[in-house]
Amino acid sequence: MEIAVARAKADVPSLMDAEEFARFAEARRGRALRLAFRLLGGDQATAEDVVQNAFFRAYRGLGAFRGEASLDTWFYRILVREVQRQRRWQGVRRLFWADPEAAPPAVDPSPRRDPGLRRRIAAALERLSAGQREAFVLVHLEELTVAEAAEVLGKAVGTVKSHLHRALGALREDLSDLRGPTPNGDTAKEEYES
Amino acid sequence: MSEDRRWIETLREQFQPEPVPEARAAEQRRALRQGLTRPARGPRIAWPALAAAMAAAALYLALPRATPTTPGDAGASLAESDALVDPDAYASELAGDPGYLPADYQGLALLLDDDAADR
Repeated sequence: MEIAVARAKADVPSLMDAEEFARFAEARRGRALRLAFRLLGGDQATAEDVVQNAFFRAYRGLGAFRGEASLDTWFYRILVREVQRQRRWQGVRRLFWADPEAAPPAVDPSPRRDPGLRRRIAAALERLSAGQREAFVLVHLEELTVAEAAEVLGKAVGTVKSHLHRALGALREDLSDLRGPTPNGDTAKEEYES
Repeated sequence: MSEDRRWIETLREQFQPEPVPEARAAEQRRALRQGLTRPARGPRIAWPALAAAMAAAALYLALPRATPTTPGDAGASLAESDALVDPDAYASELAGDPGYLPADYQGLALLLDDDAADR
């Protein structure tokens, strides 16, 4: 994802009308859905709802946009918060009611992907803390830089690096069979460690 | 490509949403445009909280009021408490004090006392 933090104030319209915002939203719907899907443990239907709500929330909050970050960063921050809100609500429902929506997502009919593997990845991500999961998804699955992820999450770069380190360790252990043989004990250096 | 890169590429490839069917995508686009152009609603009211507050207020108003007490009541002497129950007892105690009545009435009180003594 190319979030050009530096371009912040220059090309952001001070006020978007509904049509302009709709175009902005449609251009980002695919990426937003993928991010929400991954943060929500592979629940596509909920991810679609969350993305739609994030668009509405962002449009209503456009007046509060200060141009301190890029509009993309600002929107993805809203999206991540919407995901967090959804997860809290799911947690409450699980606590007090037997949540019928908590059932595992429907099996992926696509032959390209292995539904069992998908469930395993989702379960492994669920076992991470929220901070670790968000950092891992944003940096390793969505390919943001650590600085961009930190900005989206509203956390310090060092905190994000720490989350990433722990997340990688836990996932390497949990999904070790997917890594295959590692000749010479090769463990790639984490690129953000500098 | 390192093992870690391949491994992460596998996770990325396997763990992504399915393409949204065109009919649903169109519905989402339509709903988005409709939602964006809908006039903004006024401030939202938390109806359950409002109803609970009104019920509490109604209950408070309906309950009988207790006699208000003041901090001075707690320090009232036993005699003062008795006087509240039996004002005469308190009055008789004060009657012996010549400064109890204003000057005009003190003479009258003396006359009445003398009359009572004569009888």
